Amino acid sequence: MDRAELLELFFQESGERLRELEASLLGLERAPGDADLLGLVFRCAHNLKGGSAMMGFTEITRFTHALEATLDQLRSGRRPVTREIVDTLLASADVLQALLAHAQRETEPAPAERETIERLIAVLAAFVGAAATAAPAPPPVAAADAGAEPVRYEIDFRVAPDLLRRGLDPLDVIDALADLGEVSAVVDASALPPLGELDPEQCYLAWTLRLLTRHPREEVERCVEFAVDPDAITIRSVGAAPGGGRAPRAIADDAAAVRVPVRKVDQLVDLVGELATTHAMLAQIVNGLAPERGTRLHEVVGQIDRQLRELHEGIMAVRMVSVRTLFARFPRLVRDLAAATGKPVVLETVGEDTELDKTVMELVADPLTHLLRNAVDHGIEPPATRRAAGKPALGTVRIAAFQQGGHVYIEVADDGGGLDSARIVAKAVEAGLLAPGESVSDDEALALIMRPGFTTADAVTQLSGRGVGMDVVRRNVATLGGSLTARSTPGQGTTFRIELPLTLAMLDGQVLEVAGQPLVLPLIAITESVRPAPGSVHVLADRTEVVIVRGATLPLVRLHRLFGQAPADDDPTHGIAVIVEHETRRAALLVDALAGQQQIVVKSLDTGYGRPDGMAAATILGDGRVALILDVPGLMRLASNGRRKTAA
Amino acid sequence: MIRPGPARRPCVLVAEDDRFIRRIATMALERQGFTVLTAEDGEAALRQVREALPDVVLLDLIMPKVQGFEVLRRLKQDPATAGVPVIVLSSLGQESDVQRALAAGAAGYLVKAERYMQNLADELDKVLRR
Repeated sequence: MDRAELLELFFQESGERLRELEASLLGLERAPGDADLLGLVFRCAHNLKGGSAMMGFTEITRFTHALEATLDQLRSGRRPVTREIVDTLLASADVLQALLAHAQRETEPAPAERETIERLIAVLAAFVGAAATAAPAPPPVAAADAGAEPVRYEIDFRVAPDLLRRGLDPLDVIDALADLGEVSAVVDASALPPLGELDPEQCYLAWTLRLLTRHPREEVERCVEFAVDPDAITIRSVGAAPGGGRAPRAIADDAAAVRVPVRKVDQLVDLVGELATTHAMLAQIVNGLAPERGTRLHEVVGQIDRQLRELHEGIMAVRMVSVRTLFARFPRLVRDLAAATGKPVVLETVGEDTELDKTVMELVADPLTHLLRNAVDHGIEPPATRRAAGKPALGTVRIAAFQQGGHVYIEVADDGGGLDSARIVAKAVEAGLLAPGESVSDDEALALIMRPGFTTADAVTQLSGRGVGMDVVRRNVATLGGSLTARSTPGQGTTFRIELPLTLAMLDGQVLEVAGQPLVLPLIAITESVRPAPGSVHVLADRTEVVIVRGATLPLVRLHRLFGQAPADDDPTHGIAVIVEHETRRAALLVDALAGQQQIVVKSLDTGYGRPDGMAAATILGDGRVALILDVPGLMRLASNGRRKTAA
Repeated sequence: MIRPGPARRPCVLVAEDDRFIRRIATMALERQGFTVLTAEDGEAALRQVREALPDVVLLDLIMPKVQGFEVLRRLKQDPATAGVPVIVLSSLGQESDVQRALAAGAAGYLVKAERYMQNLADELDKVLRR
């Protein structure tokens, strides 16, 4: 196992520990006396310290050490858990997160960050110092035991023969024990050699000590341990039955599951992708064979195709993770937002067991954060307004995940005032997104808030409302091949729904030919393909081209123009119009020909290309050609932008 | 003291609640030819030692359910398990804990720090050849 693998494992585990730490801290805020939670919090910090020390991340070790010392004060009951301390601990968790991120990226904290770190360490140290200098209250265990029944201990005391030479004296132990209660000793002299062989500097004796004491067991142990060196000393509480009645637990959890670095799974996904490409090539060759020669081959290739799909599904299932860990970070977010806005808000989470591709999950975290932020900042009304409307002062934000068909849905709902269509339209006119007097449906009004440059926030708050909000959310979701919709009821709240594909790495694609180049469209986006009838293509006053298909007027996008290529044939009636649909809007894409369907392995475009509009990714086709995969939402955007630009 | 016979792979129990450290230790030890058992809390550690009687135990002091010290104490007190050497895993800044563990019968200790795996190998050599 090399260092890179160790590091990956370390960051993976540390991330989980950190989330666990944060969740336990939030729990602790509600139940400050919960000893189990305190123990958990302490162990999280302790393990982060151990792991970071092993990996040589001294800064993290130093910080977790300070954190651990504070938690030890809380755990031992020397200091109570207050809101103030929980705030400090949550801030510490943030610092740890930042430190881990720096360690992972091999960057150094900025001066401002470093200041925060040092300030927190100082606060934590002051906390521990204050507790130490405060009258050292007796540990609660001892206090509880003070009036307890005396317990009888039997102590087997066997010392190493060279004990005396090391300057230790067994009598010290007996003296120390005598301070705790009644002691009686039975000497075992069976090891004593004949006088002639006796070395006066050696200790041959052993004792069985009996002690009757009210002091807790720890104190008894301490006497014995500190008085002598590592020697075989055993303490029994006579009559007590330590460790009785423990139910055997199932086999250790480790055996039931394996943890694999994501990188390894991704390698397998890639390999399955390559295999699919090779299979497509094979299929193409076999299809080219004369039928009488290829019958058996056709069968076998068909079989490979089915198995490949199963393999693909299987490997994608490995990448699926429950949204639980994603949702786990939101209670903290909502808590902080509620505190910052002065609105009491509670977060409900539903459907944490819903599974999602790991990559999709990572990418959807930001949009969700944004939606939650908006829900608290803009959705939930101030408590006074809520009370006046006859609603409970405590606002509720609900995040729910569920799967339906080939999609996963995540909804963020608030029980706030709802979106005001009239106000949205007014703002849209103000922002120049809508012509004055232009009428829109309620749905269209809601869609307006996702347009670039739109904001209804009266004041740009600390948290959100800079007018880059919903547009960015929608764009991020679209990048994932998903969509964002909103519905709202005045006075009752707003729900944003993100629809996501189950997986990203492979899709069923339709290969298109445009000016001699192959392009790929996700099959799921296509509703139908038609050859435009003569006279069905018109140019509108704003120079938009439309095609009329079965009575519906659809914007016509000539794909070759989009990619700056010369058309093979300029007459639309010689081409094919592929009708695509996205979020209830439709468009017709004009292509030269359709070139078959195949499973497409998505290769994301190098970030160096800056992801040109209208293109989602690339792939390698069965015949070995590289093809771009079209991004339907992007194409829709291009189509409507083009119209607005030419209209203006 | 149970010594590994020439034909048998020596068996070590790693009692540690941190999955990261448990994994590292397991890999390092397996590479060195050990049979590795793991326990993620004190209760499981006690049970595993009683059932499997490993040649050596790596024991973290801070664990859920039953703390490391208590595990050590119970192991040393039970004649059936008292002979199993226990190496204590400790974090930085816990020197007093180390002293206490050694006094309570630990055969050695390891600090979770860099060069952990090398130290682990050295410490195991020391304990098993004693």
